[in-house]
Amino acid sequence: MARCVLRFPGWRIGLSADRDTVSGTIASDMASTDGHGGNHGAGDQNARRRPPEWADGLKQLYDSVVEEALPDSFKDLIDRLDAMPPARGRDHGK
Amino acid sequence: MSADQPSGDKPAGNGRSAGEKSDFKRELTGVVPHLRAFARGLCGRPDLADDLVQETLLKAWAAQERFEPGTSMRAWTFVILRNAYLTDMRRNRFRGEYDEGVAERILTAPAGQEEPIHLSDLHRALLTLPAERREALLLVGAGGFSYEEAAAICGCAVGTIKSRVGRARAALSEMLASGSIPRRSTDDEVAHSAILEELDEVAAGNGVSSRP
Repeated sequence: MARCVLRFPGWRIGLSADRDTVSGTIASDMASTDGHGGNHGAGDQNARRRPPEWADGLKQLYDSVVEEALPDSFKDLIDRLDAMPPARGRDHGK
Repeated sequence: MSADQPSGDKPAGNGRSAGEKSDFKRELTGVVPHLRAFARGLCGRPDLADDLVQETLLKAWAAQERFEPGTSMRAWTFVILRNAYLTDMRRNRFRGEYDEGVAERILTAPAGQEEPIHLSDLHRALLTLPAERREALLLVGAGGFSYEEAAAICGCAVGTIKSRVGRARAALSEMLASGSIPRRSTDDEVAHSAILEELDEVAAGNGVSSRP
């Protein structure tokens, strides 16, 4: 059922780059769920009216990575940058 | 390759002054943690995400003359990272593998559901979203960009970003409320065998990149 359906997209996200353009027909409908009080009566009421309960989790996910110590590989790369000349302007700078 | 003279502080024909370069480098260094966070959200696996960030840094460095000082380095580099991600994705490099390292932090315990929602559930659910919706939600909901900024980063209309964010939120809410979240790869045999089958197909040249 729902569980089976949902599993597979998870493994195929690499293939769904332009799904939005394909399924544009429902875009305008869903746009109203975005932050503003949706007035769709049907469905799970709470999820549509206010920021979802999990919204803070996105920030947590993001911030947890921001706060990680930077791996040495990045420090090494940054140290090496000065030795790399920026690309020669294809338009010669003008 | 001939190296630029390290001691020269004049713009060497096509370059910026040493001062400008060091400003650029400092700003670039400052956004690395954000690039890592964005990349991790986009592609899931920390090692691939970091590869993507390194690629982004090199590209940003090479293109530094196109950066306008005073504008947002974070937004500018996110565009580069996003383009690199989409390119890699078209080559099927990222397959939505989960980050097993996400903390099992409890996010919320919806009424009527025996299991609380964990941060890792949210991350896995996020990775099931189509890439455009995922990135829109990450930019706005995690990165704190305005819809306008996110639209500029993605090169699309503000209304498009709004609708992608709305659809992403609705999909996540539904998944999290119903508990229909893909499980971890390690303990999900169905998913595991599904990906192996896909890989076999790809290896056999049948590819799954033909879109439905």
